Amino acid sequence: MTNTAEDTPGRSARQHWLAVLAHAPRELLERHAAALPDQAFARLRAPEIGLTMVRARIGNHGDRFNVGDATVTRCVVRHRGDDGRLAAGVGYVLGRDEARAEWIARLDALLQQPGHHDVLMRDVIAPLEQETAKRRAAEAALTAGSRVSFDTLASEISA
Amino acid sequence: MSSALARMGAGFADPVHGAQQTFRTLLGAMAEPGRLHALHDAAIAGLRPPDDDMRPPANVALAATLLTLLDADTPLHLAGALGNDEARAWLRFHTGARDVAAVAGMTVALAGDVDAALLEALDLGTDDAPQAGATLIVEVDALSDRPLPGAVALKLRGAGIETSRDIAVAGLPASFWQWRIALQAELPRGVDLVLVCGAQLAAIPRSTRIHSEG
Repeated sequence: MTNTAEDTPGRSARQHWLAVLAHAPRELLERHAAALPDQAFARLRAPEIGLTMVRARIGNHGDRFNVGDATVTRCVVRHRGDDGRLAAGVGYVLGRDEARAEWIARLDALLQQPGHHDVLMRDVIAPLEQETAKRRAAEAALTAGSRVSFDTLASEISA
Repeated sequence: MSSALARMGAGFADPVHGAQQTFRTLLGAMAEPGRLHALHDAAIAGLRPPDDDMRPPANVALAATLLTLLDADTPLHLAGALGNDEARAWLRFHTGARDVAAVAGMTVALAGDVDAALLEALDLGTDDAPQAGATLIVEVDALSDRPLPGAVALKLRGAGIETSRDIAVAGLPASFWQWRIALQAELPRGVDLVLVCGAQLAAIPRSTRIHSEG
């Protein structure tokens, strides 16, 4: 990948919406992407499937080790706005799903176009983020039922 | 943001088949030194995008050859009209190859002027490992199997040629061919040459002897 200087609307903002898109449920993403105009996009890198090495640290510290390979699909598209402004969007998703990577790349490109940014943030990113938060909260609630608390043990040791 | 990526030139429309078809053409060109080979239209379709600002920073045959031969492990040196950041970024994006400043041990691609110092610095490999010799990919002004005005006429002999084969090359100085002929004494050490022009290419591997020029 080419690393380029990131400026407005800011790197962290873009990381945020890319994270939201990467975690979004497929059917919702499809519905939002289907509404986009087709002809304004050109593929810079057609969707392709590859492997990436997932690395981690035990307990989030200690030595880094290789967890294993994960399949990743990536895609880069370019969007030409009505005003001639160019934006390149990238899509990376876990797994083998070429359509999903391209939808994300298209949305990412449009989100960088000032004319589309606010509308898409309101109509796409915010609802997707809520959906993901809802799903995570439901999962957390499900696992919370089997949670074991070691409070007593901890206080006895510290006493 | 990502302004460089937004202006990135296109690669093969179909990376897998584009590279495979171009590789087959290169293989044929290496097997028949000096014979002109045209690239498949299907392979190079993406390299002539309708959008002007998606045009690759190299002409069709040069772009196709580079996209086919390079990957992240290829030691590469770009020179001449290709020695710029746009070409570097484009190759990095599409192939993962990084341009390296040193010329020794490199696959060298260049468009335009051939630099004598660069030729002298090329790696010829060793007698034990002749495959370490450089591959030189040069864009020339014209390539033909018939004599061309203003072009150097070469008579080639060697492996892959039944008796002899004629090729006319325009755009390379006489000193370049003198350098290439002097290398013939070094075999199996040497430099493999790929000449590209428009959508055509021809190869002159190190085993080919150049007999006459003028």
